[in-house]
Amino acid sequence: MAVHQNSPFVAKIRLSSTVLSLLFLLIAHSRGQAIRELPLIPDPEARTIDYLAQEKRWSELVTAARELTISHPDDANSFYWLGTAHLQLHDAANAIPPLRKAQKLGLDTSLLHESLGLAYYDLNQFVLFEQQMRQAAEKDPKDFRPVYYLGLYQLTIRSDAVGALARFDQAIEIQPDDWKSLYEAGNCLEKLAKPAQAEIYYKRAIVSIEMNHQRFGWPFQGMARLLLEHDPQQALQFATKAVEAEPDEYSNHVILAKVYKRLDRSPDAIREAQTATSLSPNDASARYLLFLLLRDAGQREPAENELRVFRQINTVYGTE
Amino acid sequence: MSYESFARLILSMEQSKKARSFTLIIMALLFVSTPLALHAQFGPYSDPARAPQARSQEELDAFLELRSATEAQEIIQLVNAFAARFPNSVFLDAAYQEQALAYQRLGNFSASVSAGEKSLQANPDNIKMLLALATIIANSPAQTPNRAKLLTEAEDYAHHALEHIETSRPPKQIPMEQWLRDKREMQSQAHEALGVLSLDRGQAQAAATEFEAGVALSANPDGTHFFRLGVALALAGKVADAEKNLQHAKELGPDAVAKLASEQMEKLHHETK
Repeated sequence: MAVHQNSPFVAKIRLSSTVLSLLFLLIAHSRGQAIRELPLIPDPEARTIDYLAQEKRWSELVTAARELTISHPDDANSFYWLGTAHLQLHDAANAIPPLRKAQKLGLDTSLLHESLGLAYYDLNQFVLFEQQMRQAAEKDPKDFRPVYYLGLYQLTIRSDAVGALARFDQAIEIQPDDWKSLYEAGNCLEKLAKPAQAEIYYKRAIVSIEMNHQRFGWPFQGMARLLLEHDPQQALQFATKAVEAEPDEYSNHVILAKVYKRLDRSPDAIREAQTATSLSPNDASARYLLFLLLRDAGQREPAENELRVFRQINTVYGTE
Repeated sequence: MSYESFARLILSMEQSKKARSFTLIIMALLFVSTPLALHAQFGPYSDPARAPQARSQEELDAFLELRSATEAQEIIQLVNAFAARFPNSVFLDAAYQEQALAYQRLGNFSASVSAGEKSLQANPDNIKMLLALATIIANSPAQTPNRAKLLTEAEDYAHHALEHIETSRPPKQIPMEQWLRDKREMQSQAHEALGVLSLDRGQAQAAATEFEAGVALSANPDGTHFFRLGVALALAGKVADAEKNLQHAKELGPDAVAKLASEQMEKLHHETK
């Protein structure tokens, strides 16, 4: 059974965390660039903004940037930072107005379009999100992120694996060692029932992750999925690495539980399935897996309880 | 005075000024009811895959501007400007919803109902608007033209809200407990509105049944809930139950409700002597 990567809701959470982690890279990159492009902020104040962004002190950055927008109402950069800080604070509705103001004041950088696009995404405004990401890609063809975001959107919201694959391949062309794009391309291929090709991408992603000492479990989970049936021992190694890399990602525990089940290690499988359900209580597939495991282990009452919760989840949220 | 005669007295009060004052108290209390947790477009229950899409940045700018406004007059003007500029916007229902609530804050009943109706015209299944409009109409002044017709509409809104709440499916990011709690709160509000409507029609027992449902569904029923129920039970002739609920209201407060509950209890005691 596929881990629910097709679910737009789960996917959105994934995108949000991915987006935010990348956003910091974006900010690190933009600290110099945006300020250089529009050097209207007096130097000491620019240094304050720079420092607060570097330290990820977003609430303070909101205050500092807001003051700058009052003292320098024609300075696009101040509005850009105000919007970016709000975005970092998961406040897209308040991020958009200052970002739009920056745009109206003449800021037309790839970074501005990316930030605006991410804010639109957060408000489920996908038409505007696509427009901004396309503009970002046009402004800076060497930046892989807008194309990557567009791919994630096509995969998770539109469930268009073919279209998404094209985007991820485009992103990989720009940034060949980007492990996230490599993983997502593999994920698309897996969804398109091309496991051999998927495996190539997953392995490339793993090489890149290990070279860059990153904690990103998805390609390991992908490999575990591919190997689950015909080589569960090797699948176990990958599933374990996925959990080690991202222990809070429930789907890593689901796959590990399935691997243990395949290896007839029932107590381990139950433990992992229980971890998965505690991390994602509303995931029906994890509940059902736990029910099966408990039932097969002869734990009738806990099994019935899980089945009851599974049915309640389907009643409340609907079946996928 | 015997228990039975007291009950008859209370029931006959429905047609009297006293009954009107009971009803007005209940209506006034509806204004302080807890706002709904459900947001129209950007709230936690919006479904990404089916979210309405702005057609332009300007449309979203204008919508966000009216959503962030706090002054009622400003909201009303911004919504009018929005509707004139983007007459086919997918956010019209949410915009008119803001306007209906803004008019309500200003005490402009007819404008509030009119804006609410426009909102429902744009999106007949907007739960928040259905509940708000049912409540607004339930609070309408007695001399409102076509009041009987409006009350029937309000009843329909409340029933439609209840049906839609039952079939709504939240996104999975929303914890089940939170959704079930919010769902019950919305159902509670619908029953509270239906209770007020029943009371207004002189159907004290029906009102009590609705208020009982409202109390049972609310996670934390407050003094207002128990006060309404107590008054309805008193009007229905169930003095002991009425006293019990009024006592709850007195204990839970807030102060204004506790004071009203005390007064009503005193009246009950006085009448039973």
